[in-house]
Amino acid sequence: MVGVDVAGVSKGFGAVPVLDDVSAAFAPGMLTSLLGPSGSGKTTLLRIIAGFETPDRGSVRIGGETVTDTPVWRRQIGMVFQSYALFPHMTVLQNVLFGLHRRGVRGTDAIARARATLDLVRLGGFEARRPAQLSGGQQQRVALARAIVTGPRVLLLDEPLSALDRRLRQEMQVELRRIQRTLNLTTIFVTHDQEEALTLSDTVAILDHGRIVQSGAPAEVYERPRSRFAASFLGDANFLAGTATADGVVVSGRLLRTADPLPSPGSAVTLAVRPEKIGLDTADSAADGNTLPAIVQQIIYAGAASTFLLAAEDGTLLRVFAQNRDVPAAALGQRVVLHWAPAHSVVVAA
Amino acid sequence: MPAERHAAGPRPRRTGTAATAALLAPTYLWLAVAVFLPLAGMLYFSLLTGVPAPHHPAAFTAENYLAFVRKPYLLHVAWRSLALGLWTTGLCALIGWPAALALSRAVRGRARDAIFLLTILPFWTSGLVRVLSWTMVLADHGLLDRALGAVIPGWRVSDLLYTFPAIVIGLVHAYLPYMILTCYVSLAAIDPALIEAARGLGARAPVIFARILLPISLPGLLSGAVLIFVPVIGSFMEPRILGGRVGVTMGTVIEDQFTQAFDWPLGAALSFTMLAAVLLLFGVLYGASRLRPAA
Repeated sequence: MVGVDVAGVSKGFGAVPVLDDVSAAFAPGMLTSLLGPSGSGKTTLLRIIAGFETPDRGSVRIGGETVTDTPVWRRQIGMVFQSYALFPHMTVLQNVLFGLHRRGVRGTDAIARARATLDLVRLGGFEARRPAQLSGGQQQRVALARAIVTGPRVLLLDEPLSALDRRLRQEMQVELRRIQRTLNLTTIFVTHDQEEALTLSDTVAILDHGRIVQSGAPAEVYERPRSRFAASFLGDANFLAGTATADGVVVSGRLLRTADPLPSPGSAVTLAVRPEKIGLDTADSAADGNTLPAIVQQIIYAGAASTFLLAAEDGTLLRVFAQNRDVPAAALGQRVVLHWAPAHSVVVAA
Repeated sequence: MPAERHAAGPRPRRTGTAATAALLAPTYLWLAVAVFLPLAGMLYFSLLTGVPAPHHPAAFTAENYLAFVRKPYLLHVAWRSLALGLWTTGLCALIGWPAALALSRAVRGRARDAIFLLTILPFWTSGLVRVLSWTMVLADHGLLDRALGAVIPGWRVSDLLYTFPAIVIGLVHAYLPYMILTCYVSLAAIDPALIEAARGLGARAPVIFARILLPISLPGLLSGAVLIFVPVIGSFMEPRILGGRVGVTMGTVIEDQFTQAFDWPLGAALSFTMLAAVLLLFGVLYGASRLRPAA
């Protein structure tokens, strides 16, 4: 069980900078998601760790050993590709044996290890099939088995589930997590799916324009986003622009409190509030937290929950997510009062 | 929805069949007229005792098909044709496959278009001009000798013209594009991630070549080999012009029967014998390739 460290890595393709001075530590035995929109550099960072790309500046260490100039075939990594990249002319067993043979494991020993790994990914009995004879989910499992059978120091996954349909993807997320925990394998997982990143990882690192803008445990990153980008890319957020005072933030004449430290009074501040943290009342109840009147503009009913679109007095559009414990609490065009706890007003960088 | 599709199913299929037939008809009509008619005529000739003339009625005979028994020197000629086919096909594979790999992996955009154009260029020149220009290059004190003489002190003559290698050089030049194009098609279809996956699993270049690239591109290599081997063993222009005395091949022998000896029946019979040999060869190869995956 070893960790991966990336220090000051920059990479550009021609004149286009892709990674800009990225440093990150991937803890041993943990699953870290690299989350970001396309073009954020997350795949390039993964490929630099794998050795498929050379960084322009900076270094990569696996288990303390600097591997920046080590060729891919000597790095002892396991990689799963978005397209699975199974060898089409080989059977499932031959695909899994390929890496073992390269590392000098041969004969019955190799076959026993390959079979054990195929059992681990629940593909026992498929040894003689060819990739073309398997479903997408099964091909995914073969790719995973092929990557882990050699006992790699780190497992790298490049959007491995994006080609699967929703149900299969959720099933594979559980499987992947089970296997990763069984093997206690340091894993780096590239995805653009925020829900996947939240449910799957020990750590989420959000990338934007070639930089890691925030990283931490999923709950930490979700509950305390540091920037407007982090708040809106990971989940939904309402943004309220106001001015800092000694007690809180004044947004269109109303004082909103926050638990976060505030900049000097008079400076501009943006607050982020998650839609599900906001309560919705028809009467101005004596809530001890922040309150904000708004008009219901649209109700999106989705069975278990509803999403309300509302306009505040200054015209700011807000989104509130409410479980339908009773009938929806408000009607279209109604004036309501929104309320939330000060701890849920998060100060973010604009 | 499924029932609806089922009910609507047969109609598009029928128009589809009609459209397919209409699209294929000109090709098959042309093939029937331009290939099978002359072939049928040749088959008829091959079974005659001589060319029928007003005062020399010809009789039917199978004698022409015994040429290889009656004229043992033809076996020698056939072997030379076979060697020519093997050498040319082998060299085309050795030169063409790496070129196709480079084109599919390393070269992009305009550079690739330009190289493709240069590759196909031999197709655009007249075969006769191409072969005759090789005589100027390969002749004693020709362009090749002068070039080598300028580089290697004391170089006299390469003595290549009118040798077996001269024929192979001319034929490789003519048929290399087929190999490059067929190999390119199968190599370009390989997902680059396959090669990265192999490298990630610890494979170095020789293993990637032997275990990934070569097996996956084998169909392209084989179809290129067929496209080259068949016309090369029947070739007569390159052996005649570049081979001189040693340029006696099945192609030139057959050509002689039609243009010099006026023994059309023998020429036709030799043609059909070669056709049968080639079909047999590929039948065996095809059977062997079909057996491979099961083994």
